[in-house]
Amino acid sequence: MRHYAHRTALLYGALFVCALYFLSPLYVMLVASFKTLAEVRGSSIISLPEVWTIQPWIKAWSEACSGLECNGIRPYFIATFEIAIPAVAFSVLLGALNGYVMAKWRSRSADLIFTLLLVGSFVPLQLYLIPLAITLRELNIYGTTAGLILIHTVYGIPLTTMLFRNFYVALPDELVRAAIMDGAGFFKIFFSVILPLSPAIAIVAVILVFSGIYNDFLFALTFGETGKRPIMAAVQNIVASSYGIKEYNVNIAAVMISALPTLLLFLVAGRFFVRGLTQGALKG
Amino acid sequence: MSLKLTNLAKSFGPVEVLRDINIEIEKGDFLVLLGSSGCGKTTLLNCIAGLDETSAGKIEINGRDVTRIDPSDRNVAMVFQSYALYPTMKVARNISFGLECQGVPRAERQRAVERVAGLLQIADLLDRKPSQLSGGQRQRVAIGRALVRDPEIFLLDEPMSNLDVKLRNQMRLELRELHGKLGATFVLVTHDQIEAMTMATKVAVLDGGQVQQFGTPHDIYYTPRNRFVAEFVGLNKMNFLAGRITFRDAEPAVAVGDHVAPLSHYVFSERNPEEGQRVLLGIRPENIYRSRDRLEGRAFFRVERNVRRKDMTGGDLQVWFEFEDQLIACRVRSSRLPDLEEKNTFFLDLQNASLFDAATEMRL
Repeated sequence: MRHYAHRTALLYGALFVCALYFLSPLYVMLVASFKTLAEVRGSSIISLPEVWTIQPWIKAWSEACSGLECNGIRPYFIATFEIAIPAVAFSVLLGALNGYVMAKWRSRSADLIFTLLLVGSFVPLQLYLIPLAITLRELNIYGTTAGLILIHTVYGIPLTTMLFRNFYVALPDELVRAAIMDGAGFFKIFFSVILPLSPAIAIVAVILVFSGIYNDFLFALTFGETGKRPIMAAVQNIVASSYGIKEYNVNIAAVMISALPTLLLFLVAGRFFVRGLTQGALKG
Repeated sequence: MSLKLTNLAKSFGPVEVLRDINIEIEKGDFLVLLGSSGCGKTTLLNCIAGLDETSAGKIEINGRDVTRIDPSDRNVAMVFQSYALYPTMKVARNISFGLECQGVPRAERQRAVERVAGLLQIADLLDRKPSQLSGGQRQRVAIGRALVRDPEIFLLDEPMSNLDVKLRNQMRLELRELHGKLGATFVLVTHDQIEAMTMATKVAVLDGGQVQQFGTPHDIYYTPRNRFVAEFVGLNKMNFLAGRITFRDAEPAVAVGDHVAPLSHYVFSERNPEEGQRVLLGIRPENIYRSRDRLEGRAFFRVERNVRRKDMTGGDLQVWFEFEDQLIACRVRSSRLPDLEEKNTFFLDLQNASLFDAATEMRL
């Protein structure tokens, strides 16, 4: 027993040190974002602010300059959601439909297409840039929100297809066969039988695709609309802005704000995320 | 004629799983497709349902050729082995989903659900999800889902294999009752011969993708068409003795070793046998007795042997003795237990014996 207690203490000690190590940057950023600029420069990075101020957060939100415009990150924040919400919706829905076809309406080509999709998703992003640029230009949506929605929808499909396919493969085939016997058609089966079984995996897909789109920098920078760039490109712009003095506290606040949505998503939906990943077919 | 299969064949790629299937049953028949796993019986059921496409041959339901018709337009309903209830739908919607797909109005659907629920006594389950039901209840709902569509033919794929023995016996009775009440045609797939014998009006024994025998349970049991059927059917396996045909005063007889018995009672299915033809004599364990009470006027072998082995099977006991270098099983009542190595007189009653050609293993 004693031996066991020692080991537990050691284990928790080690875990505590690790947690401290990983949380320390967050702590440094958090305290810095509540300090005045003078204090950021003058005090130690781990000391708490002498004077608490939320001014950096306000400035980052609505006044910080990106290039010549000084509206904070708010417009970019909104622009990101304008892209992410439709793109997530489309790619999750299409991925579910794809997965359903591949898992339950197996044709000889299904495996080939699935392999191609997987291979496609391992190709480095940079390779896509020029073909994408040409495609968007031909479609007349270069540098627009619609263009980015299209890119992210398409780019999300391999991942969502894989998730849904693997989930649906575990569902019993007899379910689909029973629905066929009942006279349900392809879409009726999908919307009435299959999709209602999918919330767990859909949450996983939403989290993965959303954070992918939200954290995207390359496409945002390359194809984003000037003045309406998605958040990651905008934050970089603010932080790297070379005019005037570096307002570290404002930059840090901007970064913190931009990190909040994905953080919140994980906190709120993390439980479902784990459940969705570990849950196979539904019993009964 | 309710269901007629003509020269049905099915291949998955190069693998032939069904061939030369010819079955015809009347309205109100209870057909059981009996066979061990992998014999193609479920594939045959799926072909009748339309879930698998046939490679050759014709399927007729009620005189209509449905070979190339969609499953939902064949006027058949299916109960799946796993029941395949829709997990997210309540029982009521599970039952009425087929009607919903056909565009039946809500009020009418509800009436149909109530009718079926009354028939199967599941009215109090209608608001539950399948996960809140026991195995037997799920089974009923699955049957209800088939019932609601009022089909010409019910297809049941091992519907009782997931139930425990007690429940299975009960469901078997209920299913028979239902069959009587509806007067519809049932086709049931099973590997359980008791199920086949107790429920069927017609049995098709399948092996290797072919119908080995098609007939009434009585036919199957008493006049098996070949050795496979003879061995497969019967809870206690049939004994096979190697023998030959001899003629005495122009009457055929069968000889096993030194024992000879006349075959005047035996109905040869095709031509008469030849002198010296090698045969397998099949005798079921229940046709071997230890007294000659029942043997008046019958052909039999009488042998005195020691008991080599005995097995308890519930109310019965099987004892084994050696005869012509083979262990022969004999069913005795357990109230009269013989001891091991005790000498007994056994009478092998040939009245219900079967004769098979030794080479082709087909019934003579």
